[in-house]
Amino acid sequence: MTTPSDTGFAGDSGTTARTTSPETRTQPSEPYVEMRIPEPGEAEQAREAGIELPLIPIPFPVFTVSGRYVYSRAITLPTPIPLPRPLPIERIPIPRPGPGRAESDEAAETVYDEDINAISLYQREEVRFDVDGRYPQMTISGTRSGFLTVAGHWIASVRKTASGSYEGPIWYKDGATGAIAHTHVSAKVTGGLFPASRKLEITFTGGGAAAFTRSYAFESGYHRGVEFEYDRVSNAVAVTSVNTHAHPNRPASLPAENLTIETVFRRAGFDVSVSPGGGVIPIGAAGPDAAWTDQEMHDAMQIHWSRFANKPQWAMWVLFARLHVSGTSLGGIMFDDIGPNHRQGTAIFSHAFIAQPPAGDPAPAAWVERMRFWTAVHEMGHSFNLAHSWQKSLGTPWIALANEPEARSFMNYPYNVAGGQNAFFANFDYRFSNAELLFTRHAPERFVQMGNENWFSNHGFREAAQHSHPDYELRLTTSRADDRFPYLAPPVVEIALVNRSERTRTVSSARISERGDFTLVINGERREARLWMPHMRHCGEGDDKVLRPGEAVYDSAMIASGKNGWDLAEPGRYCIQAVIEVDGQPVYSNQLMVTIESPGSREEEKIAADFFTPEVGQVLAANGTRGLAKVTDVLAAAAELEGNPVSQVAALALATPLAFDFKLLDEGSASGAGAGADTRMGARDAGSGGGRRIEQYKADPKAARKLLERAMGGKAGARGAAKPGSADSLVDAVGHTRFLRDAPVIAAIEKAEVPNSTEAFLAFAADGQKAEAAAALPVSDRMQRLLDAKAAGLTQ
Amino acid sequence: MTRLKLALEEGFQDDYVVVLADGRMIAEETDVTTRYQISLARLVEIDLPPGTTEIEIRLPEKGLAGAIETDGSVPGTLRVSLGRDGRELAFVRDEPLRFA
Repeated sequence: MTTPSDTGFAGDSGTTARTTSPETRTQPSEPYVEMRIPEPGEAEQAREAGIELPLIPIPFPVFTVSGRYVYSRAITLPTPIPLPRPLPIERIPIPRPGPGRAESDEAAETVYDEDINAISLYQREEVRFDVDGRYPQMTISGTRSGFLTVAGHWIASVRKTASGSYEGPIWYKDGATGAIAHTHVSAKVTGGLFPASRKLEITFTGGGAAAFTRSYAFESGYHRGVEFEYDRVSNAVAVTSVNTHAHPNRPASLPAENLTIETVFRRAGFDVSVSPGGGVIPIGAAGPDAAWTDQEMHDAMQIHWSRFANKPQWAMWVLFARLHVSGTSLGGIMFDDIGPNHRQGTAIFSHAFIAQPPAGDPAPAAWVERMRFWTAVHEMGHSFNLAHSWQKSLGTPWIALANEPEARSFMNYPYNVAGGQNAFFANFDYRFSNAELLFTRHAPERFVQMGNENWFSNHGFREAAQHSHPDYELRLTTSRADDRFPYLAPPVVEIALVNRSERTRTVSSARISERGDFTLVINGERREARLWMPHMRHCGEGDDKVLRPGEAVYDSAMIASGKNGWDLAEPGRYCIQAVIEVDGQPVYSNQLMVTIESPGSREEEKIAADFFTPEVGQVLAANGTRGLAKVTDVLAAAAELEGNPVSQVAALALATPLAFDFKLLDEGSASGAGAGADTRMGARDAGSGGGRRIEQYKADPKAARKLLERAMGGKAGARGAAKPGSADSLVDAVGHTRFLRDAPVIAAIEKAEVPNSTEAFLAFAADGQKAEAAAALPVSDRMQRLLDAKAAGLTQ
Repeated sequence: MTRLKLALEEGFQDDYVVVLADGRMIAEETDVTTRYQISLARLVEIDLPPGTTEIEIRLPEKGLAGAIETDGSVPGTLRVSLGRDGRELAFVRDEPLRFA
């Protein structure tokens, strides 16, 4: 704790570093909205704070309705709980409200309908209504909570309709599956001008769920609350406000004001208070060299921040120091990426480069003041988990984000834009970008709140995994040592859904990786998180499968490519995580870290451009074709690579379609025909006209066998000589359950017993006993046991 | 000797970085990882031998390397980043080093 009596704050002319306790402040204490009717007492407080309130005349009536609205009620659970309830809906008895918040009473009285779709019996819903005022994002978001946990979070983009209401689709959902069933909202503000009587009525529709309308009471003109605590090292300068007209290089339309840090964040939608605990830290705390390391600042935060708790909270510590040990090149840093609770503290170095105005600047003192102010807000922005403007797509963004390298935002470097810092400040309105405001106002709380989600990580399932179905484990593994894959080798993820309960459970036997309720995210270190979109989805629900305790259903997924391209191809590290719904509740997987190695040879580099194409991805997913000459050529080249499992995957993809007669619709040119073109035996279909014809390629079991032997690491023509275990690496390369599904075909190729007609072949492949077929191949005993277990739990 | 301020900036992740002057190793850095809140992984000051004509940066574990010719004028600062695809190194010389 430090004393707040020091006068070292540069904005200390009675306008900044004001200490306002949350208990005593009047809200809203700063004009979040640009033009509105001041609240009683607000003008006096604004004068004290040096804030210029918007001047009237204003075109009456001008008032805003954005802000936070709440619905809450107590629940008396009937016994047994009738879920789902039959229609018509019986209202849950709502206890007579006791003394408490007025808004709770109002909301409880105006329940139109119960949300019979929700699987969570939540007691509170908070809605952030963002349609007017300062920088409206035309967005409504809501958070539904139970007694102790957040059940779900939704975000909708809305437009104003002719009737004065707002409506639009829900485009983002987070949390327990089923908590947010609807897909569309329409909202209308009722209750007149005065906040105390204002209500927001939202109707939820769509998504196959019963529609319902809920009424929310106005709670605040801000979306969220936050507290700042400023401390200054005795040899540093703290700037917490700036005169926006002090420097001549500025937008012509920029209002003249004494802008404080708190005001900036209030305009971003936060109800800001300043902790009374801030003050001055003696220079001795910095160590003998007076420059600060990150660890020293972290220690200082624990000692001097009155609110320090090492837990998620809407509060941050801001340190104004003189220099970092890195020297003058570091203007500030959000230093708290140490330990389990990130983003609690940030620092500004008043004597770094931000105190060095360019030669010839017309107002050097104002330049320094402005850069110190910009740096302070910039570093505090990092504490809200805002990334630099040009790095929005890196890390793990909460939604797919575009970089904003030219943004006139606090989160951009002024000297990095085209035209440099002069161009930046000529258009800088002292604000965050719309994408940043959307995030800070509407993203799930854990992504933004200090001490919660790790810095630079806001799109993971990590927090949601706490709500995973306790009876199941969704396990992702690979067969590669250390989960490292050579360049070009398509990673295969082995998936197991395990019954971890102590009783027998029934699950769907539909193929896991192709189910509509299975989601897999690929999160590369240097690119945005990507949703894996499998090339194929199987229709049908699948039969039920009984799992005794400890048993599992299995699948293998070649996740390197999908409908949106090759997401797992470039060298680097990737985090893979999946979620599947069982009994209406999500089951989250482990986070699997996969490494793609750099090219190991010139040959691998040469093939890459032709290999990483959508066509090759589709063919590998379908396990072969005879219709695409370019693809078969690439696969043939890949099959020749030594020491890379891609050679096995490619060889098998080439071998399988050679095992049986293969029909292909020829659109009139034979140029696209690939391997086996010389074995075509079909005649042009006279009835089809226009040169279209169905070609039939004869099976080439000899060629198929040669390829298979290559895939198993043997030499061509060495049939029968393969050692037990020589097929293990092939099984690992293509995936255990993928191998099992193809095992009858592979075994038939190996034994030269492929039926000679397509129909007979398909019947053979379908009827084949997959585990037995696999046993006909030279796999090791260990691999055979593994395949036996997976065959028992094979999804369809 | 000429003092070079070398800033290893974006795209580094647990990397081993070797600095060579005219083919001779003059510095190595281990566990180089970008801290994206300042867009900087490591700031290193290196004394270059007189007459250095080429400065090369290698990431042997990633099979990456890149170099700049000094053309007789050794830079005071050198900023190095990995490209977005992680497969090439980008260099910027003689620009002020400013991070925040």
